[in-house]
Amino acid sequence: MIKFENVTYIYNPNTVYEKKALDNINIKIDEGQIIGLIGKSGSGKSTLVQNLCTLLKPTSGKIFTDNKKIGFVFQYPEHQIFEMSVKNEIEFAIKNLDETEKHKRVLDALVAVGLTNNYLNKNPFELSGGEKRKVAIASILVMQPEILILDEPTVGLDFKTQQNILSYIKKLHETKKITIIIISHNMNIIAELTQKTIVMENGKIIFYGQTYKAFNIPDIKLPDTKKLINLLNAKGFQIPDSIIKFDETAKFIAKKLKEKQN
Amino acid sequence: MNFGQFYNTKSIIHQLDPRIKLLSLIIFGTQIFFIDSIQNYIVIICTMFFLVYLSHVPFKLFLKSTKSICSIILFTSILNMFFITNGNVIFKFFFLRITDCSLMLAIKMSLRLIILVFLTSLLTFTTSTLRLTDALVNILSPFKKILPTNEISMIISITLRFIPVLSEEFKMIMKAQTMRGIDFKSKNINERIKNYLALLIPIFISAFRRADDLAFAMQARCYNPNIKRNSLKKLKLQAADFYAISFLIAFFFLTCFLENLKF
Ligand SMILES: Nc1ncnc2c1ncn2[C@@H]1O[C@H](COP(=O)(O)OP(=O)(O)OP(=O)(O)O)[C@@H](O)[C@H]1O
Ligand SMILES: [Mg+2]
Repeated sequence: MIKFENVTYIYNPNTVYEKKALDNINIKIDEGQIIGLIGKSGSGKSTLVQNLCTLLKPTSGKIFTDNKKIGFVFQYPEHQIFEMSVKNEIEFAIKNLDETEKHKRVLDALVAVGLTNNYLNKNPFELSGGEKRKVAIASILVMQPEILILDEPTVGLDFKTQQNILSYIKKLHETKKITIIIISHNMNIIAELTQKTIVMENGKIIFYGQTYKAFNIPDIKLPDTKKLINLLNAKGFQIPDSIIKFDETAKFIAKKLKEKQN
Repeated sequence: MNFGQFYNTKSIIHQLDPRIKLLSLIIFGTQIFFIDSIQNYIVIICTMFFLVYLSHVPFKLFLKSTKSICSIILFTSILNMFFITNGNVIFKFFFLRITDCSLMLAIKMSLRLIILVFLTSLLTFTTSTLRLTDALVNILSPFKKILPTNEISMIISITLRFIPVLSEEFKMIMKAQTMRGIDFKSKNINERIKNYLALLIPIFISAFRRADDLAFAMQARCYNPNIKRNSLKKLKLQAADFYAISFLIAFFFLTCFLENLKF
């Protein structure tokens, strides 16, 4: 159970720079799912997840996580790389385990992000941007978190690398069944990957529920599929609301086209 | 991080010419170390509070700046107390002796540092970094032949501009590394030093990355340090500045006079 109870967070309290970033948050987040966290810049998304993983302590209110292990991948995690080999970088958090266990976990984490053991002795500073990010994500996965938080996991990467990383996140969720919370400004990612979505505005949660329902909120940014569907629906098609993923949309349109042909 | 950040209230002090504020800080900041008499301290502290009041900057902010150097003040006054041994002993503990002279000196030293922090804060709270560098370049301009004043001003403004950025970045990296299980409070000194490398390497890389970006951006805008520049807002003394100058000169002589007065 992940639960926020009347959580308020204020930056620099009792000073002139006081800023209420979370305003009386109450939410019970479902586990074992991929959850999207969206909202405008400055709406408090990062503050919310930093409270969740105890990097920040709520000014008031309580957060329950059942002592689950939480992994948090920051924005641009590759900027935090500091070891001279991929192996050392990834195993840093689990240095105290014995050799065989360590090796097994490092390999697991590497495979989970789609790298092979050829990378172990490479210098992480000489890898490409996408590979660096994968190493950085692996260095969190190696701790085997039960809740994984990803802050903008694909920002600043090219489309193909983005898709590649996302496919591994999806696979990770399918194999390990862990809870994954993804913060993103890219609605295509949210639509494609998540089952449920939290929408924040001005430090408040204004929506939590099925992702497709979030896209009915007025003024919200839409994924490309939803834009297309809205255009088609305006031309008299009746594509149900619940369809937002690429392959679902394609399947539905293909079905309709076939019906027309016959 | 609040120390030395501009806090605009548009008060009289804010509108004063930055050159006057900078020069008076240099002069009075030096003078404070030659002041010894109690009556002078009282007058200076009262004037200082009056200026703080005029600036309309919350007193809390000044206290905060002072708090951040509290440990230095404490450290220097304790050192002072133990290493000066003339005067009457008022407290003895093994080989440590505190005398009335050393106590007095410690109090005065602390007062001087606190006054200095207050005055510096007064300057930085009431003057934007842009105006401050303008003032500095202006003051240095007679030495243009021997000093690269333009570069100096550019270096200073870039440094000042990036202090809060790097400080934010530092905090962010610290958080990220904490999430990776790096313990910055580890009891083992060896491990702790190693762990701080996890902080230093990313912060250095990030600083260099920013420097690189900035250099490219400046080049793209054809920045040339050797070109003659003028500023959008020319510094020009106003009526209020002349009053301030008169006040400061009068105040300087008053403190000199009080210093030589014996009761
Ligand atoms: N260290 C800090 N000190 C003071 N205020 C902060 C700090 N970090 C964030 N804030 C403020 O808190 C509010 C919420 O910030 P937060 O970083 O949680 O937003 P966000 O939703 O993550 O935005 P983004 O999408 O840009 O990452 C913002 O108004 C921000 O200015
Ligand atoms: Mg954020």
